[in-house]
Amino acid sequence: MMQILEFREKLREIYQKYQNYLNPAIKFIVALIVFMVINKAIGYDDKLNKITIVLLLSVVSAVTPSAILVLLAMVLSLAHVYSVAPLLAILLVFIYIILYCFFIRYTPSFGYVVLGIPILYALHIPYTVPLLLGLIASPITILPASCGVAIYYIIHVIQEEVATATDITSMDDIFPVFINIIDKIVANKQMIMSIIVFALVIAVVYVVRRLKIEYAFEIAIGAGTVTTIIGFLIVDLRLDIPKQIGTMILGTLISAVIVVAIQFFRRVLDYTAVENVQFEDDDYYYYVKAVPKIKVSMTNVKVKRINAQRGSEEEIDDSFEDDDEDKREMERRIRDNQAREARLQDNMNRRR
Amino acid sequence: MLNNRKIRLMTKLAAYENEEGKEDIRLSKYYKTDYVRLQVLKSITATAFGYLLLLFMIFIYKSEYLIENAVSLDYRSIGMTILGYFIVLQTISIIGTLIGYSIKYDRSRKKLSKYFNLLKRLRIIYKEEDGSLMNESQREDTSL
Repeated sequence: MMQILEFREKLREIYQKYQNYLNPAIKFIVALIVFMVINKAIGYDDKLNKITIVLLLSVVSAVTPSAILVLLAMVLSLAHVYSVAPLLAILLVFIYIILYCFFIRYTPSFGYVVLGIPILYALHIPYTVPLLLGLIASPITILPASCGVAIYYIIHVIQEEVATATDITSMDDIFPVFINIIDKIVANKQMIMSIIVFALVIAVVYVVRRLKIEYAFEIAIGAGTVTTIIGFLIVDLRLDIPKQIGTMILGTLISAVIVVAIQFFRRVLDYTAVENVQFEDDDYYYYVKAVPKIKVSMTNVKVKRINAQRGSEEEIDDSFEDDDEDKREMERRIRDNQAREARLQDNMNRRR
Repeated sequence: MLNNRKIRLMTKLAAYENEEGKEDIRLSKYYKTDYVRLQVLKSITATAFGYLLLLFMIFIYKSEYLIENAVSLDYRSIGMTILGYFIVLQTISIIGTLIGYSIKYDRSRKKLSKYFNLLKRLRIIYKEEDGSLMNESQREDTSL
């Protein structure tokens, strides 16, 4: 265990040191995976499949906010569908807009969830998302998660239809395909049931991690994993698709391991970010680089007093010592001020 | 001369203003009722727009049937159904918006109060620097 903690500490140091380069690099890799998965799943347009285009898009996503990545991925998926059948692309745009108006607009900061679920579905580990959302967010994230599942199944249906239909370029031929797609989406029980299971997992993980018990987060991940496996087992057995059970269980276990790892490093990374801020006062311009001091493994220092007068053991929490110092200083000054005022008042009274 | 305590406070304030504080400070420009009402208005518009698109898609989906039976359709009951669903959807979205954005506003207020506390401490430091704290207390004493 000690070795892992040391490793985490080292990782923290490295991250802190090279943060400016690491963040875009991570974003670049994520974007690359996203665009490659999209191209593999619905890469109908050969021009967009070229590696230069993918690299270019990834570079753009690496240096821009994460919302741009979501937008680019949506545009790429639309462009691919458009190259096969323009009308289907319009249908997809409509579906995106409807989902946005009804659900996604309430949680704009979780836009990446909508993108993440279809991508992770392709990698067979979509179960990471509900587990993680339950841990770090509130149950409102059920909305974007449901949209993500819906988009995966909708694109899946479109994919199937495009593969089976022979000629879908002309207007007359596209109409039955359109009807077919809508029929399949509406009748897709697997989609509805998956959404329910995902929502259930988010709720279970959220409720358990809020309990005031030891290891609440770890137990929450365990509870979420069990809920996922049981939920999807019921779905697969009800819909009679036992082939998926193996991948599902394996995927869930891998997801759980990933989430445990993320949870382990999250605490550190949350407080690791180096802040570069600028401000000014009347005399100076300040360019401050604020490096967090917190060392998680070092927060609780036990001081044992041998010649104890009051209590033999005392715990000192040295995180936020600046804050405390500041507060103490303030309090002392206020006390001094009050004492001086009282003295002056006393003098005045005596003079009277 | 540089005042380390002041720099520490200002750094904290600037870091908050750059990150999560941006949204909180934006919200603080509204009264709660105004903010929630504005969000409700946005929700109503968005829901109406989404519903229209949905209706359009259903219309295309059923277009064959609709055109064939254009004469014999019971437009009154269709209209009532469409309106009924519209009212139900709007009610859900309005209630959700009311609750959700009220909670959001209250939370941002809580964070802002911490921010204001820091600002107050900064002001005290400024006063100390100017020596005005001293003058003020003297003035108060003489007025007594």
